[in-house]
Amino acid sequence: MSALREAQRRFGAALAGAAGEPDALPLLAGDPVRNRALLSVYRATSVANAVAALRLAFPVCAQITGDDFFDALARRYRDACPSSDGDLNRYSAGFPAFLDGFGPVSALPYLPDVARLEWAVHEATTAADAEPAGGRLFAGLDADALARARLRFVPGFALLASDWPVADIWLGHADDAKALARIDLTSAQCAVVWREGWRVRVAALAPAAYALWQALCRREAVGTAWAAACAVEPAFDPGPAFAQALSAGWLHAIDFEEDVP
Amino acid sequence: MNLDLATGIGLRQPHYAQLLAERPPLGFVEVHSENFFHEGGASLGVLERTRAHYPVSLHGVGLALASADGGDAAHVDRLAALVDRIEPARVSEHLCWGRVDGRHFNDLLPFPYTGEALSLVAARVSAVQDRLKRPLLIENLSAYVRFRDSEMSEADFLAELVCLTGCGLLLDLNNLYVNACNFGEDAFDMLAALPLHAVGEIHVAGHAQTEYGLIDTHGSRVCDEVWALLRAVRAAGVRAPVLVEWDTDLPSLDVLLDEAARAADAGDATAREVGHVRAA
Repeated sequence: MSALREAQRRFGAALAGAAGEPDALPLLAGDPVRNRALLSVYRATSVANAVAALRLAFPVCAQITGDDFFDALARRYRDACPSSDGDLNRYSAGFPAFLDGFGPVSALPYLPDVARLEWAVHEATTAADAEPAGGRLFAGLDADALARARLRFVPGFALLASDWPVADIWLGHADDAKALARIDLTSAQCAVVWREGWRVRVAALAPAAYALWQALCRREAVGTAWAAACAVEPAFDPGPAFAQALSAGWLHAIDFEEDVP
Repeated sequence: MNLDLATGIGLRQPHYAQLLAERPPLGFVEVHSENFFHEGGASLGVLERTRAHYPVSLHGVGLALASADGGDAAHVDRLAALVDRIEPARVSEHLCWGRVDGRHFNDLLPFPYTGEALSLVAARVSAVQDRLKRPLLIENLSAYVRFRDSEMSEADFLAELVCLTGCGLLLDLNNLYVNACNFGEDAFDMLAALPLHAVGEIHVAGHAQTEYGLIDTHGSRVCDEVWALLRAVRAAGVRAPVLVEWDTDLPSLDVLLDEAARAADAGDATAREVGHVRAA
């Protein structure tokens, strides 16, 4: 075992928790009492960096729980799922799944899905820049060709189906930290996330439209996706859905079967 | 890129709009590399627009070069992509470790200055330089603890590292001052022990006084002692650009520009003094 690795293991254990301090102290020169305090300064910095990364990615969750409770959640997440990456911007991806099974937030059952939506927003914020397809993407296509086509979406486009009104919760908190009090929490909702220029947008989607876009995101053909939407809502008219997608800039390109490798 | 005696500030999100609108006369700006590792979006767009007007220094906080765990190839790849995109004037990292057994502490952690560590860091620095096809600047660390097993000082470690790899030094004068105070040493002696010929950039920053000693917070104005160190560095003939680092309790852009002007004054005053000495 390398002496350097052994020293880093012991120092690291003291940063993971105070229980690691006794094994780390013999590594250090000088007064052990003072060194113990300094190890706790390092530990506090590592915790604060992780908490700050989570606060940055999940501001609405923090508004819902309150800052103190959120910071406690973030510390528990750090204990359960430590960072493995030198880039803290990647650290928070597992936070929604952590909340799913975490007892202390069971009184806030919508919180994991709000976190999922916020992570989709976070990813859209930094997704690759791409030019949306123009309004004439479907021009000149006959019905058969359209039914066989597959669509590509702009980077950052994401869909979320939830048992909770996640889009309303997210949109309400954009300008009101106390928005939760006036939202009907009994309704399920589908949400769509995308970036318009440099600004991330969130909107609610009707269940049939969600089925359409979800199938298209899975690279199903337009005809198959339309059938999936009609299974949810038999009279579903895809015209307004495609018009919304083109005007909002969700679509990047269209592929026909001969283009698909 | 020649940035002799240039002064710069960190490019931080609350100042994006004002900096781009007013374009104050700065020699360069610096960002934390990891905050721009993504593929697109507003902040990367701002960095590209800023790059059209100012040289950019990319300052890394996540490579953790002294981690015994092994190199982080994915991190180096992301840095290389950013370097290709931004064409920075400087690329720097810290003399620290951060990751062990797969866990990253996302902090700049000290380690014992041993021969084993020197071999590891030298190999890692060389590999990164080969990948980026350019020299790295390595920053001296503010370290609150020291290790019994250290076989050399940080200054000697850095001097050896410069010899072995051809890397440059990012001389952080606040870190140096914080260490000098915390360990009861003379900051000017510590300065003299460093390979000053290899300095490619200088950092000045503020720190906080706590019950445990000085902590490197980057959250206040630069203290008089650190300005004195900057004048000493200039008097020693070091012409590398100087950056005002400010990360916590970020003030208005005007305060940062004022600190940058003071950094420029330190260079000018020293040049005048050196000029007088030479004339006499």
